[in-house]
Amino acid sequence: MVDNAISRVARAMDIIPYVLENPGISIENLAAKFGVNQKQIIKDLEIIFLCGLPGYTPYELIDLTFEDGLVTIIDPQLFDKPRKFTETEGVIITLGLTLLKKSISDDEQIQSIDHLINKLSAKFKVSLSASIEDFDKPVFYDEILRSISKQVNLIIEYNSISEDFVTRRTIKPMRVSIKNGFYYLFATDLEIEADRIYRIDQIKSLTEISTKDDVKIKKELDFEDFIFKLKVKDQLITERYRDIFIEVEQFDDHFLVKGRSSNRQWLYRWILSHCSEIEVIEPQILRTTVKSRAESALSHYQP
Amino acid sequence: MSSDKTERLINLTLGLLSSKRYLTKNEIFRNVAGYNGSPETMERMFERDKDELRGLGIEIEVGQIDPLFEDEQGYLIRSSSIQIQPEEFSKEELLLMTMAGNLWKESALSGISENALIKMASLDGGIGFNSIALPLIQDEKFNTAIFEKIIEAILQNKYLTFTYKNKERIVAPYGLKNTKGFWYLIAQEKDQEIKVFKLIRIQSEIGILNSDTNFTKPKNFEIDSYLESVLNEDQREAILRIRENKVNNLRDKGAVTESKDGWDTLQISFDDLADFAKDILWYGDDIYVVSPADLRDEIVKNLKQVVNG
Repeated sequence: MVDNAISRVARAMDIIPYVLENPGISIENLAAKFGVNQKQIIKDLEIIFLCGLPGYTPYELIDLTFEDGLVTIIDPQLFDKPRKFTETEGVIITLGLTLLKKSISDDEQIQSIDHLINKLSAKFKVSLSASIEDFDKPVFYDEILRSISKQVNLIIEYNSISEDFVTRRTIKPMRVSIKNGFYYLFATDLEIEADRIYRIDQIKSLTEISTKDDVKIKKELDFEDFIFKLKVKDQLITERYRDIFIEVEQFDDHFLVKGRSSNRQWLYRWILSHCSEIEVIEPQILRTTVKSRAESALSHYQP
Repeated sequence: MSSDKTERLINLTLGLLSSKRYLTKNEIFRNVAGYNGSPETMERMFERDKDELRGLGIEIEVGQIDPLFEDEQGYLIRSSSIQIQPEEFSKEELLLMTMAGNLWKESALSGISENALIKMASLDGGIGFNSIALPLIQDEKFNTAIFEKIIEAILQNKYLTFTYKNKERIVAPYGLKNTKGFWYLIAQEKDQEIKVFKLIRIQSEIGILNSDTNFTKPKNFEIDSYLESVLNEDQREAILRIRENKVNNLRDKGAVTESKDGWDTLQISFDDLADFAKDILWYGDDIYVVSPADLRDEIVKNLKQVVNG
């Protein structure tokens, strides 16, 4: 965002009540919280220091200290309360609540959320025109959230989409996220001692084990990094797969992309799946493997 | 210069907020620090300041000072119209809203949710809680200014302008929907059917059409049911053969008939042909299409392209 007088006014009006509730916060933390650099926060505080109510005697000015890098508001004048939520903020809180409702099982809390959603929709009218997909909670979702809270390990049977078969893993579950319409679990695979991401709907069974149980820890697998070039025409792909794309060079009618992946099985399948948009340049092994897979698939259609 | 302006806007807000009665322009110019120059200059400054503050959601109330002199107007700001009041939300509500705001922490809208969370943390006795066991929403990154503009336009029933698929559009925005990690705008171009626009495909800055004409949303329009009907319209059936114990992910989404030749039959519905072809290609030679013919043709065309390089 461009920093101008208006955005500084907004920030000042947000900083004052925030510091009032969090006295002694460091300039460093304040800068991180408000997404600007420390120099800017100091400048903000210097401006705030000069403002106040008409009369502008010391009694009427906003009073604050920021010695030793720690900020405290002594007199906020009338900026003792935060600004109202903007319509956009109201909308995304309301949408967040509809998702939150899906994630919890306590009936009483669900009722409170419904009540709150109605209350916010009356204040933030656009909430009624916005919606977020109603995800079906995967079967083991509640168990997984519980195991994260209880900090217990799990043995799961997992259908790996890149390998297309079900394997057994011993994992330490860490946290859950929602991406592209799926729930994912971030966990440490204790057998290979590496962090992995699992799609929760692909977990076929789950057993809790105590963290004290001896988990046999094998040596970490060698995950091969490899580099390749892709020809794509569609910007959506480069946005969607930016995690594995290191370098994107733009030409008139295509992109030249350098990427890196540690999972060959996934890569073979992904390239074949996107073959209408992608052409492998190198390495040769990738080209030939995908080609032979395509030949084999094509044989089903040829008598 | 611009820090003078910042100071003046803060002082004006505080001055109008502290007054119990409407202040005349002259009182404002005399008492609020930062106004100087000729009466015309101060007048212009004040008009601009009012507009800029309104942009921040700070509404300056205009009222008559003296019932006998109708042309003398005064100004003030009420705390209840610009600040969250202590009794507005209960502790429990704030906790739930904080949890809801935290869900967006890794999404494209994290900047907006962070602003809201800062405000919640600025209320008396802010709420601390353990967010570890809550899912985080991760969506496709896009310019959030687009999102805010759309919300503003929906709120005011104003038309939006932007470039989409290399065409200039003027649309009446009806709603926003997040599906499978993408945000969509549901809107109508003049004399055309209601359409769905993908936000990350908007190719230009987005603008609100500055005209006095507001659109009227069709009565009974409801996004969820609209999108459902659009999606269901396009639903088609496919018959696929899949190798035993393979194609595990697609199996769960359709009806499987097992057979003894090592190949099961999967009946499954799909909407977008190109997207569904990708799902099928993923499984290489563990799958092939029996019907419909156009899906079969699409797969064969793609495979031939790879084979023939």
